[in-house]
Order: sequence, then structure tokens, then C-alpha cells
Amino acid sequence: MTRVLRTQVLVIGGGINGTGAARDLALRGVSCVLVEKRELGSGTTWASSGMIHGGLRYLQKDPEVTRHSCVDSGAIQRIARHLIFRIPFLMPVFPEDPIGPEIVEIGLEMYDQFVPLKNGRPHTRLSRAQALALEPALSPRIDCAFTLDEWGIDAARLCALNALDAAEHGAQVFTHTQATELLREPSGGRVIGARVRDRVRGDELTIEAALVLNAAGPWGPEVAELASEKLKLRPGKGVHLVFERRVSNLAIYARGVDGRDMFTFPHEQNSMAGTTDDDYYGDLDKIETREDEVAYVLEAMERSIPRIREHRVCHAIQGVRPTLYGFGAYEDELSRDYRIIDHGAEGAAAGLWTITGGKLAAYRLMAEDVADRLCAALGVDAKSRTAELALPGGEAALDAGALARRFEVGLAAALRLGFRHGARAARVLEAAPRATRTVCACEPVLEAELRHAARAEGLRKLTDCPLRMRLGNGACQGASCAGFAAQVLADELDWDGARAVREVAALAAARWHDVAPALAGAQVAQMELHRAVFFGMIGALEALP
Amino acid sequence: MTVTVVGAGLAGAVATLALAEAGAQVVQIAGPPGSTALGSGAFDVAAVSPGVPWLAARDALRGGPLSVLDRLALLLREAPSHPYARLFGGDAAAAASAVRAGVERLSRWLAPHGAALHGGFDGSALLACSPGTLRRVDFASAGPAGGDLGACGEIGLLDAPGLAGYDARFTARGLAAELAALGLAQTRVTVVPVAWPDGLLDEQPARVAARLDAPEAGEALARALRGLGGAGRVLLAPPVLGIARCAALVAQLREAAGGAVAELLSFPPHALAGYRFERALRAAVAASGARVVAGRVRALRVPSASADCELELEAPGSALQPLAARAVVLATGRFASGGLCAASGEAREPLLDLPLHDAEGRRIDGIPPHRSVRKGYATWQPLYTAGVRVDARMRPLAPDGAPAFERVFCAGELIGGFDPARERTGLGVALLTGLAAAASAAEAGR
Repeated sequence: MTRVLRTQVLVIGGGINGTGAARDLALRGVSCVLVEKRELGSGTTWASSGMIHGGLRYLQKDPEVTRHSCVDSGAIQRIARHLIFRIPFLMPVFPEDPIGPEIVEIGLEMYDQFVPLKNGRPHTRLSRAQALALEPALSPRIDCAFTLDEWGIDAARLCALNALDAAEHGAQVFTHTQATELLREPSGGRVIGARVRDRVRGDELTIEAALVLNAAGPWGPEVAELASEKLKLRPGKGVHLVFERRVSNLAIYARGVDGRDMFTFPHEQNSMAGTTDDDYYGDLDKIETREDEVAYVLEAMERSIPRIREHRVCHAIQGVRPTLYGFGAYEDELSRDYRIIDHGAEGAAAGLWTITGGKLAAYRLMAEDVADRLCAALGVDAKSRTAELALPGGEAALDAGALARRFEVGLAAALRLGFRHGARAARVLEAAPRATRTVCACEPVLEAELRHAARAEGLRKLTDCPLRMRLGNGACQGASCAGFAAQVLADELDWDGARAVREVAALAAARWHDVAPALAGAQVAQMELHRAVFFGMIGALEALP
Repeated sequence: MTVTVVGAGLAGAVATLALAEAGAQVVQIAGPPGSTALGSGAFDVAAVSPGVPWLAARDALRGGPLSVLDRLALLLREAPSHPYARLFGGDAAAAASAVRAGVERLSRWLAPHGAALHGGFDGSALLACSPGTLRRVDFASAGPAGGDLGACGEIGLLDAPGLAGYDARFTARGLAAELAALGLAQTRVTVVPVAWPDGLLDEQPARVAARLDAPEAGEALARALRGLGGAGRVLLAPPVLGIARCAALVAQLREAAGGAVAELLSFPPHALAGYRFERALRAAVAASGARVVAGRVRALRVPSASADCELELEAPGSALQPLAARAVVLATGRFASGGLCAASGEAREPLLDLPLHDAEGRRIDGIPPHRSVRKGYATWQPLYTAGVRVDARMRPLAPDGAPAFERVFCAGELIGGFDPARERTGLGVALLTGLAAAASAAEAGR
């Protein structure tokens, strides 16, 4: 007999749409179970630019996307103040650009109308000399440059916090748990739940739900198919390159050889550059960055930042957007809007709903929208509270200096802990006051944070750590922290030695997967060392995937 | 006229020491520490099982570790591009006796600096790693050498709360599982509380090790370990047992504890054994009469097959400095040590632009590195088997397969055809090719 859980809404998918919806529902008092087949935010969300931006790009074709992105950006800043950071942008204009500074400025003036919604500053026009003084890495060939204001966020952490808040309001969250079957009513065919499998333990669980929300992003069609429903998307693959440190002070616009807008931007301890957008028809569980994608991004960046190739790319991030289907349009021109589908009204599977498409910046608004629809179907009339109630840690400001002094940890470590945990950072250290050793020096991550993630946040695998706390994302790609991190998790999660070795091996393999396609320059030497460390540490080659 | 050795890792040090011993005028160009300094303290001279799949399988059939002769024979047969095959053809007995003589010679050089190697060919030692895994090791440096678990009845992990990267309980749990998998489940593994002397422990193992170089600190630790050991019991410590006087400290602790005391094999960022090893090599070279120049070679020109080599040296704080040499030994390592470079977008040997080949014989220089890698972490990675090809005298080969130069020789990981991380023969290759290159260079330098 498999265990049975009963709930009002089962959410399938732990990306930003799924966790956002689960939080919205839980805050309204709706009981909710969320299953995610890997780690929270490990799909499209992780592969996003991590920007709560207004979507200047969409202004021409999708002003509505720009508007609700900007509105919601303001809301996210209120509820997750610890998790966001200002990203000032520089948009250089080159002599050969088809659109000259005057036209660019008209666009930016339009955008300025939306900017106050997200607490941004209006644009400014900089002369060539001013722009170069501000950002010496910029190409001296520019005519002039414009500034604009956007906001960045740790998107995977945002998922984790949404899930955590949902859990604190009664939801149950299962990671590494995959929906394998949708349960139907014998007669009418109504979807009444799902059978799910825990991919770590291997056991099964039945979840009976009044409604099932398919928030599986690009995997959405696979989930819909479990109820023989067709869901047509036009998945678009996006690749970012991650530099091991910040290559510029400001985010810088760049243009691809095909004219597409891209940018490089400081993101937490790294810089990122991207993104690509190409139709994707491959295996969603085996997304690989290709050589031509790396070349395309670097070529675009080189025009704005001529010495970009001298900086070290430590890895690539790849993902697939669940873009709404459109025929006859280029990838870039497809709408970034979202859709909510009631498969009872639009198909033959009452009880099943799908949310798909959309932008990270508007996730909260989308969650509210879908929760409104689900609540209407359930006969619940509670209103969304996600715009007012802070996410865990966002309740108050944190004094990182006081935290560092109190627990005798470095200020950098206290600041990073505060970034991810906000006002709750002290709790993390209070729960393990002696766990102040630095596990990952790149980030840096303290042992206490790792222990907290295992004890209080449902962290299950070492390979979850790069998403939860950015461990293993830096230059060394886990070579100097994997062993130590596995020790800590083994202690918390009661792993035996063999399990710990398998976890370390899995992390090594996962990092290699992301590094190899962009392997160049100094990272070649770094990975030589990486191999020496992991092969030495693991001992048994058989454990390595 | 002099012989110049470029590199101060194991291969460069061995070549320098051998040349100095042979009476050559030798100049060593010593750059910053490279991969030798990142070693775990294990010194493997023949591929070890587990570590290479076809050896692991043979091991399983035999129910025990293979002898070094068997392992060398397998290596020579199964890995024809390995530098050992270049040195010894298929003759495993010749390889084994060269290894034996080489290790003895190296130990003789290192003994005055407290860094003699321990171990032997009569069945490799079973040593513990800090993550709780086990390795079979031929030779080991003084820190870990006394920790053979093959015949012990009980293992005590010294507890050291607050030390980065070390958790005695975790290591104990891992070792218990690994020992059980090897059929050694009867070995007891416990965590031993230690009353560490005041002011000794720190988050950083290297700092603890530096403090233990003070004799008083060593004595205080010896007092803390008094009586904790015993016959059939091995006490294992994190990598903190001194830097300059590790061997003496281990002996002192062993006596106080009343039984074996050893360090766990440890990996970067806490690879203290490798750091000690490289320090001892540098001390041995300094005592050998060789001239050591700190810096790096910016350019190396070999005007004609018979002419002298011209080097251009870049030393910290001084202008480029010319240097002439009758013969040159290149022991510059691979990517991590700067012997190979990928900065230009392609893998290259930066000094002579020597052709680079992977273990399967494909050229990889001039190819972007990401094209010479494969999916999967544990699979053969051509990029990381790549290096210079040499003849039996360690002369680098030109693209046509003939020696490129008469008086340039290569040693160590710069020589390709094997994967040091997978096969773990890097130090053995460094030792044997360092000696071979020195012999050839001494002859050419006359």
C-alpha cells in the first residue's frame, strides 16, 4: 500500500511558477502539496538571467508584459528586499547601429514611464567620455551610451523562499519527487490527484487533490500528456555564460551578430552574459550548451567589451523557456506573456490546470492570477496576500556587521548569509552557533547555512547546494568545498560513507557538465586540478558517473 | 657550459639533483609551486587499484592487491602511450627495477630534509583519505606513511572540532563502510577525543601545522596523545602534523601514543603533504650545489640542431635576463603548472610550440580545449591526457615523429599519453622521466 495524502491543490513543478502559486494558495489558507522532480528552481528558473527587469525588449510588441513586469518588480522589492540588488545598465550606441541615439532615447523615455513602478531611476544620456570613465571595459568605439536601472535577484533562492513560506503556511513540499501518473475519476475522467515517486528513496506516494496545477514549465506538455491532454509550447533554449568574477561594474548591453539584444551583468559574485534564444526540440532532461552558442554569446559581448575573452568563463547555464506557441515568428519575437489553461473547459480533463509562459519578473502576478482562478474553482474567496506579506527573511532589514560581530564570522560571510536569509540570518547561526567554519570560500558559505538548509529547508542532495546557496558555482567548481560539504550533509542527513561519496561524485559530474562546453583559458588548468582533487578524494572510480 | 632545468616540481627537482650529482653545472629555473605541491602525500609509481577499471577487475579476481610488477606489466600492455612504455617498452621487470632504484635515490636526496618516502613493493599500503575513502598506495611521505590499515585491528580518528574540511565522525563512518566493502569489517573505527593544547587548534589546518613546527607545541600535543595508541591500533590525524619537522613530530607522537600515528591523505585546499614534499625538494636542490634562479622562462630559442639554447628569464623585480645553456630539461608540467597553456583560445606548449598529442595519438594543439573534452566526468578526457611526445631519451618529437631538438629534453607531466588524475602515476612519471632526462642532458651537455 502506498501512502495517501489528501489536499486541495497539487502543484506539479517547483520552479518559480509552481512555488509562487503554492505560496499564494497557502497564504489564502488553501491546502497544497508541491512536487518537484529535481531541486527547486533547477529548470527554467535557474537558467534565467535572474533579473526582475521591466522587459525593455518587450516594450515595442508586448507593452503589457513590460507594464506588469514593472508593477510586479515593485512588489517583489517589497517582499524580498534582502534578495534583490540594483543592476545599473549601460546601453552603448555604436556608429554602425541601425537605430541612432535619438530613437533609442525616445524608447527610453517611453520606458521611463514604467520605471517608477519598480523604483528605478529614469535614464540618462552619457557622452562617450562619460561612459568610458564610468565603465573602462567598454569599447572606445561607442558614440554615446544610456543608463537605465534594473534589479537582479537570486532566482533559485526566490523559489526556495516561496516554497519555504508555503510550507510555513501549511503546504507540503517534496523535492526530487516526480509525478508519474495522474489519477482520474473512474467515470467522468476528472483528474483527482497523482501518483508520485521519490527519486532519492525510490518509494511512491499517492496524492489526492481537488485540483492539479501543472506548473512544470517546459515539461508541462509531458505532465499534460499524463492526462492525455495536448499542450503546445514553443520551447526556446537559452544559454548564459558565467564568469568567475565580475567583469564590469555595470551591466552592459551587447548586440548579437543577428541584431538580438543581449547583455553582460554582474550577478552576485559573478558576471553573467547572455542569453541565446533558439527553438529546442531535444531531451529536456539532457540540455547541453553547444559550442556555437558559446561563440555567439562571446562574439556579441566582444563588440561592447573588447577584452571579454581575457576573462575566465567558469561555466555555462542552460535551460529551456516554456514559451507560448506561435507560428511563423522568430524565437525572439514570441510573446513573453503567460497562459492559464483550464483543461476542463479547453480539453477533456477537468480538475487539471496549466500555467505556462511568462517572465520571472512577473511571477508573483501570475501566481496571483492562477490562484484566483483555482480559488474560484474551489469556491474559496480569500484574496492574495503575496504582495504585502514578506517572504521569509524579508520582514526587516539585517545589520550584517552586528551579525558578524555577534557570531565572530567574517563580514563577507555575514553579508552573503544575510542576502539569502535576510532578517532570519541570525536564526541560522543561533541554531548552530559553533558551525562558523567556511565551507565554500568562493561564495562564501558557512557550515551553519548548510546545516540549516538540511534541517529547516528540506535540502536533500549535495547537487542541490549550487542552487540553494551557490556553493560550487565559483572558479573552483566545488573542488575545494565538495568534500567538506558532503561531511556536513552526511552528519545532518545521516548518509553513510558510500552515499556521501556518490553525492560528491554527482556534484563533480554536474559541474563538469556545465563547464565542459565553455572550457577555455585558465579554466582548463582549474579543471585539471578539479579532476586531480575529485579522483583522489573519491578513491573508487566506479562511484563516478 | 651549463644544463638548465626549467621547473621545480618533482620532475625538475629530480633532474636537477641527478645532474648536480653527475657533476654537471646545472641551473634550475624555479617558478611558483605547481601540481607537485598539491599532492595528497601518496606517491604512486604504478597504476593503483581501484583507480583504473581494468585493474580493479583484475583485483577482484585475485581477491587482493596486485604486486607492483603485475601492475606495471598491465600498464605497459594496456597503455602503450604511457611514458613508462616509452622508457621500458614492454619490459615490466626493467620498469620495476627502475622504479625501485629511482625511489631509493629520491629518498636518499630527501632524507636529510625529513621527507624520505616510505613504503615498498611487497604489497601496497592501504591508506585512509580525509573524506573517509581508502587508497592503495605504493609509497607515501612521512605524514601518512605510518597509517597502513591493511593489518590493523582498530582505527582511532583524532577529533579536531572546528578544523576546516575535517570531521572525525564523518571520516570514521566512511572508513567503516569502505573497510567492510573490502572484507575488513572486523576493524573497529572509533573517534578519539583529544585534549588539544591551548591555542593550537584553528580553522585552517595549515596554521595548526605551522604552530606544530615549534618543538614546545609538538611536545604538548605528544602529551595530549599519551597512551591513546597501542598495538594493532592506528591513530589517524587531519593534515596538521607540522610542516618543516613533520617526520620528527610523527615519530615523537608515535612514541608518546604507544602505537602508530599518521595523517590522513588530504586534498586541496588542505594538501599539506604535497606542500611539504615540494619544500623538501627545494631544500634538497638548494643543498645540491645547483644554482637556483627564481623566475620563469619567457622565451626559449634553439637556433640550430647543434647550437646552444638561449633562454630569456623573467624574474620578479628585474629586467628580462638572457641565459645560455648547452642543454635544457623542460619540466614545466601541464596546464595547472603553466607547461601547457590555453590562454590564446587553443591548447599550446608555450615555449617551443611543441606538438601536443592525446593518449590516442591525436594532435590537440591548435584546437580549442572544449573540442578535446568528452561528456561524462569519469570517461577518458583526451585534453587531460595530452602533452608532448618524446623518444626514449626524452627528446620532444616534431610532428614527423623525429626528435625536434638534439639538446632539449622533457620530463614529468609535460609528457603526454597518460592521465595523471585517473591513473595516479604522475609522481612516478615525474621521477623516472626526470632521471632519464637528466641522464640524456648530462650526456648532451658534455
